[in-house]
Amino acid sequence: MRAAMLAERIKAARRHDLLLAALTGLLTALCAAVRPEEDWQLAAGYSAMTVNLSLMNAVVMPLAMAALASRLWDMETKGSGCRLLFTLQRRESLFDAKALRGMAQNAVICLTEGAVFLLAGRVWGYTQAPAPSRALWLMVCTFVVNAMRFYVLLALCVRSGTQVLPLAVGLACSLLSVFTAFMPERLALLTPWAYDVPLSAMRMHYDRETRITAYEPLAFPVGLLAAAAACAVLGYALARRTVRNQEV
Amino acid sequence: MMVRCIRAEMRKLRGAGIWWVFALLPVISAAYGTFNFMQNREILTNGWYSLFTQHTLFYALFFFSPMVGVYAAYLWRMEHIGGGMNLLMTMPVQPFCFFAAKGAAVLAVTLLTQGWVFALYVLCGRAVCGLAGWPPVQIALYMLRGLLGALAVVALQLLLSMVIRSFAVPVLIALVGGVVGMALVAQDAGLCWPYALVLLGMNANRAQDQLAGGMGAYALSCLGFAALFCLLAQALLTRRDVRA
Repeated sequence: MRAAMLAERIKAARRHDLLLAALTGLLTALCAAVRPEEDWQLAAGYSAMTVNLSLMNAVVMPLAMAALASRLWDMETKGSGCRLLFTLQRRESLFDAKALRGMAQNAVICLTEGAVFLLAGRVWGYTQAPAPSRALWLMVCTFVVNAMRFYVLLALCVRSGTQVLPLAVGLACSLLSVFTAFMPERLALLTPWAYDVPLSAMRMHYDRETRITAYEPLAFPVGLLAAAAACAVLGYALARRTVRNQEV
Repeated sequence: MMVRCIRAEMRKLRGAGIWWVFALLPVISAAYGTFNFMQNREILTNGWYSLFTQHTLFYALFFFSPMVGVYAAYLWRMEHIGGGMNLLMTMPVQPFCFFAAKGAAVLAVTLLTQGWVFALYVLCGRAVCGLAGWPPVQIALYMLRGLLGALAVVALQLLLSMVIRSFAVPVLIALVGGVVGMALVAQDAGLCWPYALVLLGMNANRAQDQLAGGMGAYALSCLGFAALFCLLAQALLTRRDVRA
């Protein structure tokens, strides 16, 4: 396993995968960050950012995970490297090394978003007390949902042998995520790839007359997180099985 | 020679998987836009204009640029694998002709995409939403204006896919670029960012024409960015050694 991890590290040299992951997290979080203009916005800065960031993640992360999965597997299909690789090492160790690499990139995205989440309040002077537990919950949920997306899309990369299909599926999931974010909650529960919004544990209420948005923090939906984690484990098993049974 | 290059590029698109992207993504956008319009008819009272904003808001904001990114990445992928770039550079053709031919092919598919989006919009408006008459001519002009903005995105994505030999990274850059473009349009700085030009041109987020009186600056921005990226491509193709 150590040799497989080292091989993946060598393959990643000069590809700047972790930097790409950090940039993705940074730009997503910056676009979600709320620059307040009125007092009520300062008083609800972190809550607003929770809602915005979960929506941004629902839009950006399906395609981002498709891109990361595609990059990790593309290098093996480009030069028909699978044939040689599968004779040199166990398929499971190859997959596990790639899965760990993918999760490292996922962790970088989540940590970057968490850092921007906490720093934004300091920079823009939110009067709302920061809630580290909410930031941590957001990071954990993003990590778990991203893991589910990553493994399913990696299985698709391996199975299809082409990069168009996983990227197209990632794009379609991003598009559907935007739509389910504005649909009733029960419908949103049927779309696991868009669990960012129901997992955010924050509800938004907009008053059309006063044009003020109020935020209602909800209890952390641990059951839903467990369901997302179960989907991630299933995705991992599916991807592993796909690599194991892939005809070379 | 250019016509031959364009024909060759169009031939590469036959049987390509990107036609599924072309066909299905606008259907998802149209389905949701129609659903949202039907659910909010008491607020969306501007008939065909309101339906247009619902159909094209997310399409122009987030998904047009990645779609163009997929088209461009697909065409360059064939050159990045199997030593295709070596073969391309040894052809008795100006290197920039290949770039321009790929640009023409991507633009053709993009034009078809815009047509498909418009056709879905008219179909949903008449058959599902029961809107009377036909869409105003202004809507068709918005779609064409969006195509002008697409010039800059096509040139940029082709440049990125030429330089970055990964299929997925230019598509991801396009998505993130679209998200940043959304923020810049909100700050009235959309003309400075190529990924925001399609949103401005298609007028996807407002009923009133936000480019009224500003068409000159918009056209300059679109053509300026397209020319800049083409010049960069020309410089890279003629001065850098081939990395196949």
